[in-house]
Amino acid sequence: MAKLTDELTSSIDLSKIVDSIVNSIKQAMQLDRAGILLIDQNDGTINPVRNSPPAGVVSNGVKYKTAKVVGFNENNGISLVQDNFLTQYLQKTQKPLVRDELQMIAKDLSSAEEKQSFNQLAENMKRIEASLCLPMIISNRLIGIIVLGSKVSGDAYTNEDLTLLNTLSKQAAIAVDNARLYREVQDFSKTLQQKVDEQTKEIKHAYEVEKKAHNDLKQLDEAKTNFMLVTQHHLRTPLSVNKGFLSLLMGGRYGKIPPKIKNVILELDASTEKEIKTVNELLDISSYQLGHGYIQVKPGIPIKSLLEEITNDLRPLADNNKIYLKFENKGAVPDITADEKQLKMALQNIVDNAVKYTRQGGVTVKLESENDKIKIEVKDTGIGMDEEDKKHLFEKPFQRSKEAWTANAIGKGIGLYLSAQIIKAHGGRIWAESNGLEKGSAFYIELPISITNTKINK
Amino acid sequence: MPKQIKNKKKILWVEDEQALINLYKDAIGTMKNVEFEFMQLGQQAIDRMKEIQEGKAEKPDLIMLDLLLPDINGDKVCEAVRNTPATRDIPVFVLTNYTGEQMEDKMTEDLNAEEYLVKTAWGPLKLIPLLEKTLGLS
Repeated sequence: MAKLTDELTSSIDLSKIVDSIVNSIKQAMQLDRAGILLIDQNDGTINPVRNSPPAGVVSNGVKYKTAKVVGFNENNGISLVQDNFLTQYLQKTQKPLVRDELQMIAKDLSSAEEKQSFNQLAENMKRIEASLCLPMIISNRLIGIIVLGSKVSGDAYTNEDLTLLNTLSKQAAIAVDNARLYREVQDFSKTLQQKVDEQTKEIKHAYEVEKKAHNDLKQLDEAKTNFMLVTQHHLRTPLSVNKGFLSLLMGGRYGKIPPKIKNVILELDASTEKEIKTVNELLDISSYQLGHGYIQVKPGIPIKSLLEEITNDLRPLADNNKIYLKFENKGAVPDITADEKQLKMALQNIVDNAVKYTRQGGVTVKLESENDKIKIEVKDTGIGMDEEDKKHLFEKPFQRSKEAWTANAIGKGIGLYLSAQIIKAHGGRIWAESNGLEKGSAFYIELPISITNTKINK
Repeated sequence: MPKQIKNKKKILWVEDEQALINLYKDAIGTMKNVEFEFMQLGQQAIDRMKEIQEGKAEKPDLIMLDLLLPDINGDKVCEAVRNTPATRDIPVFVLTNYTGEQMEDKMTEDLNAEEYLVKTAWGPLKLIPLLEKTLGLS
């Protein structure tokens, strides 16, 4: 019995507990038969016990299941013990019910109906050869019944037996209840785990979809970049051949060149040079549009020397066009934080543009600082712009000034758009003013002296 | 005579475009004490590095390297140059029309190419003085 008590308190497997209870009682008390009926608390949805016969009688909506029977002749219908009257009685008394005592109890009853019920119960117990019913009570609630047969010896149950069995049934009730709670928790955990697994799976799937889309885009992006890089190679190669041979021709590598032919070579060289510039601009803008136009800023960029360099580079072109190109610096201007290479390209485009579109007069570049900004003005006496042109000036490429088509200048649309993008990436501003066609233009650029990386459009 | 030839500086020029080979040949014709060898495939150049390592071929003093080649690209050739003990220290000038920051960084930083020259900007007349200076001929 002590072994059973140990098992009951430590075991939480319901079917094991039921087995222990039935087998131990039967063996310890030397009984011919023993069994347990349990209230099916899950209303049949979860079957807690193995080898269960079909669900028993429905009483007050409570279903009993035969958890385990040993020695009972099931053909006699042990499930008949599942009696509404019996359960109510056991719930009420919470004490062992001995079959032999039923008739004595019935005698004292006044109600004929109750007497009838007791007699019926006694008869039922006799038919299934049950001598004793022990209630299993938890918190004043009947959760099952231990049904026992007779002692093999034929002896009656003693008072000690009943006391012991009563104690045992209480412990059995606790063990069964614990096992059920444990199972419920386990089931709950299992359901929870299932839900977590499902959701994890969904998230994983969504992640995979996202990752694939990202990879596809990346691949497309790489393909576009590779296409551009290879294209630029193919566009430039014939130009380098032309330019190279023309330079050898002009350099007298193939003999002395007559002046007339020399002029032709100069024309060819100039147009090749223009084409190289156009291709370079086209590639710059393409790579910018492909999303690779990012800026990498560094502090200490000498904006004044940068502009001096730009105007010096373009002075031969201005001289050639017989216009002036001046650089004016108002006061001390601090160094700025910028992507030197890209900013130089942006400013060069704007000054280059002004020089190309000016046929008389000239271009003046002014630099000054104001608070935390530097201001650059590029003013020309060139072809000017109307209101419509101004609106579209910095828009997407190839929406360039109508007038520009007649001005035999290359790359204006590309250059200005790109310049504007770079200046915006630096957190700066660019705009243009003109009093109208043939009245010159002025481009204004404002750049912050220092920028943080957060301002940069990547 | 053979001694004199040995004293000449040697340039290995990897370039697939025939028109450019013709151009460079015309341009460098005036250079003295320099020997040129042109190769049009990346694999030829890689094989040459192996031959140099095995002592079967002469080591050039400079490698001019185009990047987009018909078979194996120039970056792989440069890797072979740098990974071959006998050729590791040969100066490599990339001469290409292929530009792109990633490639420029790879060639100059990862593979230690001494120069990255864009063909449209480095015509033959500009190139010759650079070669002479590099080879100690000027």
